[in-house]
Amino acid sequence: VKILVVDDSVTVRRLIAARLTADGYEVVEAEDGMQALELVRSERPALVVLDKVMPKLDGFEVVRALREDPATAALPIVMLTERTSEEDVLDGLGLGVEEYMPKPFSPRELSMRVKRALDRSA
Amino acid sequence: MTAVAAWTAIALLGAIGLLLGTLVHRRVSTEIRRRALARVSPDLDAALIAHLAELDPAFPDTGGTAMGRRALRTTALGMLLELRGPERARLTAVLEHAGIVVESAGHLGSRSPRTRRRAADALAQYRSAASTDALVGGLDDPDAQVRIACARGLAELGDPRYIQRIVEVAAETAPTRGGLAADLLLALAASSPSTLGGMLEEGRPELQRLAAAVVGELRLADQAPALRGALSSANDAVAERAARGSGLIGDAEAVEPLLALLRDHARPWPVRAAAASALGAIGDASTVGALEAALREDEWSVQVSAANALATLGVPGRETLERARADARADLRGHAIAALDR
Repeated sequence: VKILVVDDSVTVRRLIAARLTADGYEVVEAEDGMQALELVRSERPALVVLDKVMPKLDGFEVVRALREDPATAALPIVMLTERTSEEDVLDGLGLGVEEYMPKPFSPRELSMRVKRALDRSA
Repeated sequence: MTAVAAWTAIALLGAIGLLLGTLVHRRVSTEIRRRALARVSPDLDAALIAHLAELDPAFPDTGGTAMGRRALRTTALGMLLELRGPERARLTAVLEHAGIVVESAGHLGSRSPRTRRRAADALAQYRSAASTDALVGGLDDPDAQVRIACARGLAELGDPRYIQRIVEVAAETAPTRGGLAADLLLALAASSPSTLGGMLEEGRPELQRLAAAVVGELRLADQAPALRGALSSANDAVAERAARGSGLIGDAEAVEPLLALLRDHARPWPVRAAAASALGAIGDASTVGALEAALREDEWSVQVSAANALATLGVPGRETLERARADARADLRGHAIAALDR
């Protein structure tokens, strides 16, 4: 199962990628929102792990773009946020974000949320 | 040209040469260090990530060198802010194993305040129980920033033996460095939330003010009774923060003391405005009458807060605003229209 990990921090991307790879997923990485949208089209991942705060396009803008495209409207998304505020969660849920993961985070817990989101979408 | 002028020129040239030499030496040394760091960092980063992801049980090997420790510390400090849970505990164990915690603890004994501050900040982030003794010793440091960082480190560790010492540092810090003291209380809130309740009841206004803000922002509902008690503080700043906090928590039992605060005209407007906003946030429709009375006052901020609170109180609140929209007073009409449009 292929997962797209989108975060502008290379350390965070590599940490998540290592955990998800260890749990049996294939991982592709993007460092900003624009690259993420390109990779969604070319790599067709089963789920996207998306940071909210990013250059070029932020996480919410990426979610909106994905939801507007019928081909990716149902793509499960797990969103990483710097600090989960009530507004952020509500905005994200309104856009169709499946899971939230506040930073600082545990990659192991993130992997469990990824599994849960994939199970729900299956 | 006289001999004096010639010697002055020579001395000047010599000084310039020395300065240039020092700059070049510094630049070359920095570049050598940067390249050495760049050589060891990728392998160490990869080993660290593999270890944290439980792909490799072996600790990353720094080769026992200062450069290796430096590379590992640099990567680790970036990761510490991102991680929690088992991976963070593993990262702390890596730092302990590499001798980085002991090294930073040793730097707390440096003569240079700058070195001690950096060491204390690093130890506060490592959250290693192995640094406890060093952090406790740092509470007596002559430098206030070192004391604060050490207190934060102990607060992060959550060892109950040192809570009173941490509170003392917070009390000493609060009057002049409110932000740093608030950071300290935030760390304490994670490990010992009841300590913040104790601060609210204790009676030192600087600490009460900060504790009220932190309890509210973190929505520490268990501490709501202490916050309620602080609503009657004679200190206006404490009462104001307690009112905001009660609103953020949505403490229904705070309605009566908040109404008393709103009706107390001896209080300055920030306190009464905060009480009105909190009543709106709690959402008890029985407070509509009191908020309407506040809307009809002459204090602009209290009126705005009361109008906005009424807008959140369902049908009775909005009906009150609709009536105010047709009032003869222009200010009332303006506040009502703005609140209804929000």
